[in-house]
Amino acid sequence: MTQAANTRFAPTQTRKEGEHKVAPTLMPDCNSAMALRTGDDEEMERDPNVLLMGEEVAQ
Amino acid sequence: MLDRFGPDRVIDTPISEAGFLAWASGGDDGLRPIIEFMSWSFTLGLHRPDRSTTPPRSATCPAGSTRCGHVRGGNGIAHQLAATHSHRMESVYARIPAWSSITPSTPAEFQGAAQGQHPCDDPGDLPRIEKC
Repeated sequence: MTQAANTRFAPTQTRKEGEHKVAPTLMPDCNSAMALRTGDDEEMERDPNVLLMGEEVAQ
Repeated sequence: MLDRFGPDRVIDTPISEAGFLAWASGGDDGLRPIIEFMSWSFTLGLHRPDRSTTPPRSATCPAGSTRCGHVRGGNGIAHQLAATHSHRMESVYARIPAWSSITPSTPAEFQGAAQGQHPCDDPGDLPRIEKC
């Protein structure tokens, strides 16, 4: 057996159980539609002249 | 939002894009309407010179005395409605003078666009991906 055959070029690493878990963060769980509504809400609160109009916007 | 701001500021409309887009165009009452199309595909019926160019004209032709609402809607892929609601219209509106086309791609950009659009007096469309 040659020396190259005994060389581990890409050493593997065994992680302990739970090591891959992502630590909890303060990142909000928010999709684009929710973000849009948040922006609307703040603008309508800030400016009474802003109004929202469209199909099913009130549902 | 309806409960919070009331029916005078959160207005549900029938399928009448030409009607409520025209209402939002050219008003000089100081209101800043946000027009939300369920899908930009619905605006294909507006592509007549007197319709698709009315919003930008309302902000430019009367020497800026009137204002147009901001327009946004679902753009592109539509779940289960692909055959009729999948038009991507941002490039079309980007080529009409005085329209500005915004295509946010992250929640932060959506919120920023919603908050940043209202102080601007220019008409602008805000295509957004449907069913995000």
